Amino acid sequence: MNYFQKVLGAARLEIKEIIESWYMLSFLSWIPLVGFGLIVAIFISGVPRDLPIGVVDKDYSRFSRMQLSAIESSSTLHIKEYYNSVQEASTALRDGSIYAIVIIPDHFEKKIRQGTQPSISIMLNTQFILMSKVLKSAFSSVLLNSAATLDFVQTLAEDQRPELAKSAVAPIQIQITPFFNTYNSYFLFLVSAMLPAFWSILVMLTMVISIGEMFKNGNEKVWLQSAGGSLSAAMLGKMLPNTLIQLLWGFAIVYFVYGVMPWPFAGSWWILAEGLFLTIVVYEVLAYAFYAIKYKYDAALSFTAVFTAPAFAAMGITFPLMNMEGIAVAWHDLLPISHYIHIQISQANYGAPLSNVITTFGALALFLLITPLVYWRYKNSAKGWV
Amino acid sequence: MRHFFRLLKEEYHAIFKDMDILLTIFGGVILYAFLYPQPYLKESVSSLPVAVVDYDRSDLSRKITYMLDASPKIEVESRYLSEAAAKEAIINNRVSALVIIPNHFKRDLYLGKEPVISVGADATYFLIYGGVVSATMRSVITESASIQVGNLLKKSVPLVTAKMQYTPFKTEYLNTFNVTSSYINYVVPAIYILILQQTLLIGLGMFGATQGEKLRAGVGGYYSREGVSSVMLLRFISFGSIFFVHMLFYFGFTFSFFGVPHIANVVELLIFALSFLMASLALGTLLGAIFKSRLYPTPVILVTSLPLVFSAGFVWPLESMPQWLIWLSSISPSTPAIQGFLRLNQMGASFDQVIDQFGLLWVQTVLYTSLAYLLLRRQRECFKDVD
Repeated sequence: MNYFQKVLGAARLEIKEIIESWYMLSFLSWIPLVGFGLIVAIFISGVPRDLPIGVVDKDYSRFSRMQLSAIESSSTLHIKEYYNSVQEASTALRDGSIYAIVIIPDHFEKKIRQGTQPSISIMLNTQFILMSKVLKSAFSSVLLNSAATLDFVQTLAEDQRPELAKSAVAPIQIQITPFFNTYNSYFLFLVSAMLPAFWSILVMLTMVISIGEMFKNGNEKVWLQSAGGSLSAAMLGKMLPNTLIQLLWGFAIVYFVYGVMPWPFAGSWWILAEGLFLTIVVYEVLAYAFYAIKYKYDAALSFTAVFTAPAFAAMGITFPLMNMEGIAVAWHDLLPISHYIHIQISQANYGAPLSNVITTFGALALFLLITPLVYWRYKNSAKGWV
Repeated sequence: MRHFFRLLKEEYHAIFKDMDILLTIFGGVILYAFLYPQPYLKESVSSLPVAVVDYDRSDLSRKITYMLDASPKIEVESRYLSEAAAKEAIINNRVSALVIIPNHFKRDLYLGKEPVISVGADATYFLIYGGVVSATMRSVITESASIQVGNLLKKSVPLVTAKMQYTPFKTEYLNTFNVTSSYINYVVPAIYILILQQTLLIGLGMFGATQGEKLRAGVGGYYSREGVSSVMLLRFISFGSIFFVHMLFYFGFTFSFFGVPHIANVVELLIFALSFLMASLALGTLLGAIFKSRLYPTPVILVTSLPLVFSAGFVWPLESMPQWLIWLSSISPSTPAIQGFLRLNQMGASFDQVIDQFGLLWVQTVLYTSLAYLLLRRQRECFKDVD
């Protein structure tokens, strides 16, 4: 039996154990499917629509109604209720039934005609940061436009020449181009990182379960024998089926985001595949390591939970790594998935060459330095198996 | 009564000698209290590197560059002289955006030709993108406005009127509740609720499953001698007291430690917290009765965390989620609890404004307690058969 056959022998045993255990099978099949499905379902609308807002219109004039109908015409905003006072409206803001209040002051129209510049106040619920950002940009684009329309009409009335009237309104134009997420989609922003974060939890968990179940059932001797007595072949063989299945899942989620959904993928699928593969192997080695800390199944599960659960927070997607410090940066670096997401972004968004992410691959590979130590731990305990 | 206290002592004893449960309900709770807020300690983004490519090289373009640099959110890196070099720098994450001031910018402006300043920003990271775009827009609009005032002055409009006339009305934004738009105030109060619930469910699930395993193996103890309702009461008291202390620690100490505002009335907060605790204890007891092995709770609870955080409605609006998902997420006490706690403690709602969430927590409590009771009674009957 050569080494390759030994690895295959252990892999064959692993496949048999997976098929015979509904528990392991669940964590490899429908649990990921449901989890990925739920995450996608939450964000499926892509951009928030018809966010309920309240209005306090103290002027009730033609101009104030013009602003309000401009607001209502925005797909993001929906006027849910009109209130008589700011106090009434802020009660609704507190219970979350509206996310913002638009206050149009007394004599709004009169002041515009006099040229004394009234101001519309918008109270935003900034407890919900993402929603308040969406609301603010919707409000400013609506109101900027409608202010410009009013201004344009007024300047035109004075000047009679539309081109001059236009540049008097905005002498410098700004053109804003979002790079890499050109649709400005929250779906792409959040889901493209959240799916890998969830996946990373599963990758490590399934490996810990596979190791734990084997020891729990007292199958370690059979395992070693299936690989012709070679511990390293047995360890590799056990990793093989999980690696292939997780590679499939990894590909499925990335393909879903960049293949099924309409987002472009700029780079190389090969580099991405290498990233997925290396990430899986790192998590599997960590799974072996976590189990070997105490040689206890439930302790290994607890360590895994504590380690992988915050994956999404530390990735540096929602809150950028650039603005993290000390412990947070260390924690980010300690999670293999943070490095993977860097590779994914470099390929999907930037289309960067391999040379650009080689240090990230290096960082992932550094985790593998613990392999000899892990092997040695198992080698030592294997003496007791025979 | 003496008898009951002796039982309670046995219950605490069983919890405190189980290292794996302790690792979660003490280790996890304390570690996460300090670890989770770490990424957000700076609260909001600042000093984002932006490359300015200045083709005009006039005093006016330099003035705009200078104004950009003066914004706290932006730091101008003018080393990148060409567009290509600046784009390369974005890919390497050295800068987040590039601002291009076109050739003949000043000349076109004075000719009234509306020159265009292009801003290209990396939209991969929304917080960076938003920060860069708003800061750039503000600088350019301010400059634009002062030119406009100048234009109006040339038309011999008096300065005061000119200043007002560059736009017919102003829009002012007032931040409420989380006035500084701090990320820590945004994420931490909600995540803390979920951490408390998940660690409680894992701990209680493992504890219940362990006793179930023992019963099935025919191993009795105080949990088989006493009636099902007293065993459940014991469990509510033991885990309830531990997590009550955790809650005081989270809402009392760590909120202040990380400077998160907390404006709820203490009594109202406690009443609401108690209902959340009851619902979680009920669900945990139910899970402990459902799981056949103490090895199941950790993996199962772990994979529910991400979907639960994002379906609670504080990141993504409930109005934009499918209705079935909202129903599904209300199985978990964390969903009404996050909504209620944020309203009470961060947004200053009155108690009657969270009555729906409060009610749902009690519905969960009653439902899960009854289901747990039925399951545990059946478990006990099987044990008698073993006897």
